[in-house]
Amino acid sequence: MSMQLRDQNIDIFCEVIDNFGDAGFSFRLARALKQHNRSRRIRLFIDDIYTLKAIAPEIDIHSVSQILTGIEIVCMDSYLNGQVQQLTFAPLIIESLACEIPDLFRTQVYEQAQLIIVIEHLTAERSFESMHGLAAPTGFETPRYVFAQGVTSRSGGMLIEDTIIDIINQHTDQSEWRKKWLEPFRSQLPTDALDFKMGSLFSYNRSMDNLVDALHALNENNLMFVLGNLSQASIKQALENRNVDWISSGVARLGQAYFLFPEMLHYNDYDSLLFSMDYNFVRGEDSLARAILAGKPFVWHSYEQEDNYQLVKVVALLDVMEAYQDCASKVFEQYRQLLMLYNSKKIENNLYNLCEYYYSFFHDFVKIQSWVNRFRQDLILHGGIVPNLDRFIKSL
Amino acid sequence: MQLAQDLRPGNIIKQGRDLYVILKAEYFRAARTNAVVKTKYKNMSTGSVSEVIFKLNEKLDDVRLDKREMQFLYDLDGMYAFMDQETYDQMEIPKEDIGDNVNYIKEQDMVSIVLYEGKALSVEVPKAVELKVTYSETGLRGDTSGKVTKPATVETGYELAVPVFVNVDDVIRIDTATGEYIERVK
Repeated sequence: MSMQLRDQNIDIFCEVIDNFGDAGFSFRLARALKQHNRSRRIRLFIDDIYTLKAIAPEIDIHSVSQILTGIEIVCMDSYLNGQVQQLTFAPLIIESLACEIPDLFRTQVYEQAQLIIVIEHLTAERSFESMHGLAAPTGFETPRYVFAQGVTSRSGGMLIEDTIIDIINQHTDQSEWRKKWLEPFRSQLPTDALDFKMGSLFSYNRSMDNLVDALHALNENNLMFVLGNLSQASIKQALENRNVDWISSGVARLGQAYFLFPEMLHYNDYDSLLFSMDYNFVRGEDSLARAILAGKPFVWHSYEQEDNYQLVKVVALLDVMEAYQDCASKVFEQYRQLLMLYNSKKIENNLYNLCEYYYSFFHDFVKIQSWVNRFRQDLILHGGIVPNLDRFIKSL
Repeated sequence: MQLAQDLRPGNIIKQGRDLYVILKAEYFRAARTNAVVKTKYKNMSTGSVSEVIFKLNEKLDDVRLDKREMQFLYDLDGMYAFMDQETYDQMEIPKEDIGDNVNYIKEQDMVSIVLYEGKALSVEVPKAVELKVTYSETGLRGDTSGKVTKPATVETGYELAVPVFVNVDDVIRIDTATGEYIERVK
């Protein structure tokens, strides 16, 4: 029996816990749902408009409701009790990243909705895949189901926007993008900087001494875009004790390694940056998905949790990825070790010397890229969240 | 209100107008902010069994239940018989309604029978039980860390992982929420 929703409109709820992943994922999800069916109304109810503005500067923080690329953005904090009662909610509600709908909205949303979908954080853990599609009842009669993001066909897949597929299929000229990223720093870099090995770094706080040393020791011209306050602070701290030439406040040189400190990127730009780099260091689940889709060698910084639980997530991802590697098992073991140590707790960061593993990562680009590409291909074949969600709802 | 984080096999919860008996409860650490409990439960009206997910902080409606201490007598063709030691009243509960708790009860054990409007619905067991190991491969001498495990079977027929130093006839304490070994008692 297929569930008949009274219309195609969708309301997405987003609770910003910290950083940019919650807002970024929820907005991209809204955009992907809109791209899939342009006639439907998509509203994004968000509790922290400031975080969204950090990645989408065109957002007006004073506006209770505004349209951005066809998505209605609603600032929940601006609502008072009586105003919420005037709202009519969509038949399909999405609790993005398993967020809590604020009490002020919850009863009304649950009573008006026909179906509630809880989209869980991206993880490769088998236990989470086993929850995909299960009911998640509340005290209300409206049916509610878990939709588990994941990296195998047992899950609901990852968020794969049409624009990403277009980039992959059209083989977009990435040198044009590289020129764009280098443009603000052009006068501070050698004229042949476009030919340098290029990477991006977006991380949580951690010691970056070994990474800086490894890039310094690469023995070839290279540059790294250091993104976000936490990454920039970590790299600057590592550079402090080294013989660094600060060409400007935004460019530092250590031998043949250049470190570039750009302003916060617009959400539209991050994907093209990841695609145009030779390698990427990313953090959190949203950036992980995008790094996989970029198809470049990547190092993932998982969100630190109690009891080193982030390592469980890292191991789960590595176990899935291992199936895509070829006979170069030593390379994969080095890669596994790098991700494990890179994700060890902050306090332990300085206990390990990661130089050997960074060196292996930079040295074995081609091999790593080949298995990342096979992994990406399978994920695309499995389909992204939006078509899979459509199929799931039709199956109810 | 009962919180989902306290759910254990044998608990009864109310969803809408229906009562459900929890047959299995597995706890998972979710993402940054919340954890969940994956449960298998049975609708007491329709008999249908399904798996559902609750956030640990999910509030569940209270159900007015009675509890009675009874002794487990025997299992006859999938019907578990219990007797009140004072009144000698007997009650039966289908094995399937007892869920994972069948792993933790043996004949003569005193258990808590959950009743709703006089009808026995399920069995609750203590948070930890002590059971004798009836089968296990011989372990390696000297390993007392508990980190290396091997399979073992206890007197109820339940199989679990135990440290290699545990031997046949040892009594071990088992966590009934997770089904995991806690310690060797003797």
